[in-house]
Amino acid sequence: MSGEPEGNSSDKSADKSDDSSTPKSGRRVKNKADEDRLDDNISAFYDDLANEPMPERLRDLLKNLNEKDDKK
Amino acid sequence: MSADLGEQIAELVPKLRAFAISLCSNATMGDDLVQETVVKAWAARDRFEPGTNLNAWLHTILRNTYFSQLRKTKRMVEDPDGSYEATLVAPAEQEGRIEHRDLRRALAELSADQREAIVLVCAGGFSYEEAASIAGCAVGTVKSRVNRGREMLVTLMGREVDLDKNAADAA
Repeated sequence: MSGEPEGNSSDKSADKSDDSSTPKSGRRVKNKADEDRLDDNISAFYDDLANEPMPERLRDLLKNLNEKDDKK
Repeated sequence: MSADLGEQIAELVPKLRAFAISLCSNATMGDDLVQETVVKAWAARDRFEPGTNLNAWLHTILRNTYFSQLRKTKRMVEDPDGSYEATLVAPAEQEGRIEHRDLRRALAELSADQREAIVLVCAGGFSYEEAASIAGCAVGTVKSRVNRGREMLVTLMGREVDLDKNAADAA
């Protein structure tokens, strides 16, 4: 069992993630509301990154791909 | 088969950039990673099966490229405890809006595996199963990384708030 993947031993606790108030580890995210707030925060952070203007070099690269597509 | 594939890839690039920048905590490194991912995906486009999940395929290429670079760098500088790896993550305050400063700092302190799992599941809209397939690990591993990552983030962000409060009190 020593080669067991990191997550297997915690499958059970992971599967009970809805019961986030379970005091097993003593360090779980306190409750569902906290967890949702954190996820909203991460999501907003990610959306902001996705909405940032694309740099010139990536725009050029994608333009080249589309031109190659058109030639096919 | 590649008809419109370039367009489809282009539509997904903003999400890829968000994933890459979250992984590297650095916009320039993130853009390098996206560029390499797009070039690799284009070169391997004949291996992509139409009708399957292009977004997941691109995310898989990106994360494999990122972790492969990370392993290579660690081997080159003999970094068994990951202290050099930590320096590859740019100081979070260099970029980003002020309201996300604490989160960005905290994300940068997670392990790369935890950061990846958190971003894919909590922000990228991937299911645990899809994230496991992208990361090439068991579903339970992803769940575990997400749970531990969330705990860490809450702890780290709490610490940031305390530090900010102390700084404000001292001023």
